[in-house]
Amino acid sequence: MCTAITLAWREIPRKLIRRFQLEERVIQRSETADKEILFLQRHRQPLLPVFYQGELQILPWGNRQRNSSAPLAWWCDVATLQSGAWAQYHPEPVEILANFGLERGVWFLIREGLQGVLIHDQREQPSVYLLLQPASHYYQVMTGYHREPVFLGEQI
Amino acid sequence: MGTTLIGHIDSDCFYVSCERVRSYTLRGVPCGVLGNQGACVIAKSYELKSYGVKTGHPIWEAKKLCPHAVFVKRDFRWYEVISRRLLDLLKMVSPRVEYYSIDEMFFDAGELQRYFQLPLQEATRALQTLVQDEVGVPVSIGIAPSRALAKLGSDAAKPFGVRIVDRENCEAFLRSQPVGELCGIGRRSERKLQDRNIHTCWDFRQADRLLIRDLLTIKGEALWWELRGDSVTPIQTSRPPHKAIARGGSCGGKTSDPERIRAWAVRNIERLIEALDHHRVYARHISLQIDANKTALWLGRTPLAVPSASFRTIYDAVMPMLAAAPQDHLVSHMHIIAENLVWRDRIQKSLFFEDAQSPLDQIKRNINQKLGRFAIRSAETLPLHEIYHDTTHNYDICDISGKMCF
Repeated sequence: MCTAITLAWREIPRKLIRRFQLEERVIQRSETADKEILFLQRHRQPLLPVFYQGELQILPWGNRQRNSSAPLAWWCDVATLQSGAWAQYHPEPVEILANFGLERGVWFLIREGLQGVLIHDQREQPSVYLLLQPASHYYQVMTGYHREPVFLGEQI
Repeated sequence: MGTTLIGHIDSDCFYVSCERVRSYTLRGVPCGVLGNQGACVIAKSYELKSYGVKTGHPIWEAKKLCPHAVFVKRDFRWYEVISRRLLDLLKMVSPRVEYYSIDEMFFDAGELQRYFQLPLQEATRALQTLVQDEVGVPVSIGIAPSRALAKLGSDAAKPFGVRIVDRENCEAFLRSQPVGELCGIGRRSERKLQDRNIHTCWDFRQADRLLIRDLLTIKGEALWWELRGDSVTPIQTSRPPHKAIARGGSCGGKTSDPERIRAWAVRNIERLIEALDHHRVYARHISLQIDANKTALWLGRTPLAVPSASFRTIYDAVMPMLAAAPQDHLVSHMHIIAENLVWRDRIQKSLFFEDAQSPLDQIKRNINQKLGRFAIRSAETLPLHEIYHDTTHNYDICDISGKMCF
């Protein structure tokens, strides 16, 4: 269920790297490859790089705090959103910036980014949820999973 | 027109390099290109190769061998764009270029030094740098008096190397190359040669010509001449006309459902007509081959009354063959083959038969060229709902025209 994404180190402003201590999340796939920042759903503080209000922001990935009014989830199905079940939370569409995504142990290329929704809770604290849709045949063969993220500008 | 120097340019891990042209983040990353609907690795970067991943490995095995590798969906259209950029650039540098395959080209290297105003070794390096800068893919280049030596040179220089095979270094180079490295020497031929104590390319070159001809026929003898620096096969700047054109492949799993089998046949007919249009030819015979587990199960052949690329005519030829095929096996693969081809501008028009293509065929072609393949298609292909409901679920093959081999 797309449990991690990475974004190239060079694409994240230094002030954000310092503010969110993203140095701890740096990975490099080979000596000659670019450094990447890993955003893992299993991190103690799961975060996502999001293009929101005209700039790159690092925002919490989903919500796991029971005292928050935002849904207790990491993802949101397109069908759920379209049914109006989340209308009470006033979701806003956002673009999640990513170079690579991880699904069931398979890293795959993301060309433009992923679609997400942003929700503010009763204390105006934001949470970003990855949008999911039924997987294409290709994605299902590649990863063995029946749901995939909503890709921006492509269908894999 | 002969040349004294033949060059062979070979792209390093071509599909991955093409992906790296448009996705900078893939540079240096262990990367595999996936084919077969995402099920297996069809190309890999050198970084991924170092983890033991081989072409043909299934994805589940590849991810175990290299858990941090990144996998990319294959995109033959993009690879063709890059391939043609390489071809165009090479045509600027060389008077004659052979489009051998999507990632390999032979060229007349006789004017390389004059073009770059440098000695041969430096000029070849300059060409390599030019390709890297202009096209964006790393290549290896071999230069020699013959094709076989040039190809052997570029193969030995991989990755991102250059090798000039000349009179001075030829012996040492050929001694270092096992005979199995020669293009055209398969495992069986290699065994035959080893039985005669021919292990290296130098041994092959020094062997008796008639012995080589006895063992490997006239093709082996041609290689023998080429290894001696005598160019036997010239550079071919245009592809010789096809003897036959086939379209087909997997039926998306074994099936005995007559509706699905018919739907695959019609889709393959539409693909075949597309290819006949591209090559500007008509077919005089249509064959249908049906396979069960890649073992030919049935082959039918029908002559056409007049050369044709009409959907109606080919459909009327294929459907009776399909009906006559045995029904007691599950069908896994199917091919429709156009044979006995004739150029479109060299046929006698008939007063009594249907035109080689109807106005409907032409309208369909024009719309599909504008809106995309299969935008207009026969309703008989609708039982293949998985293809038309999911654009990622297709069975198209790499159709790149003009190259000499796959």
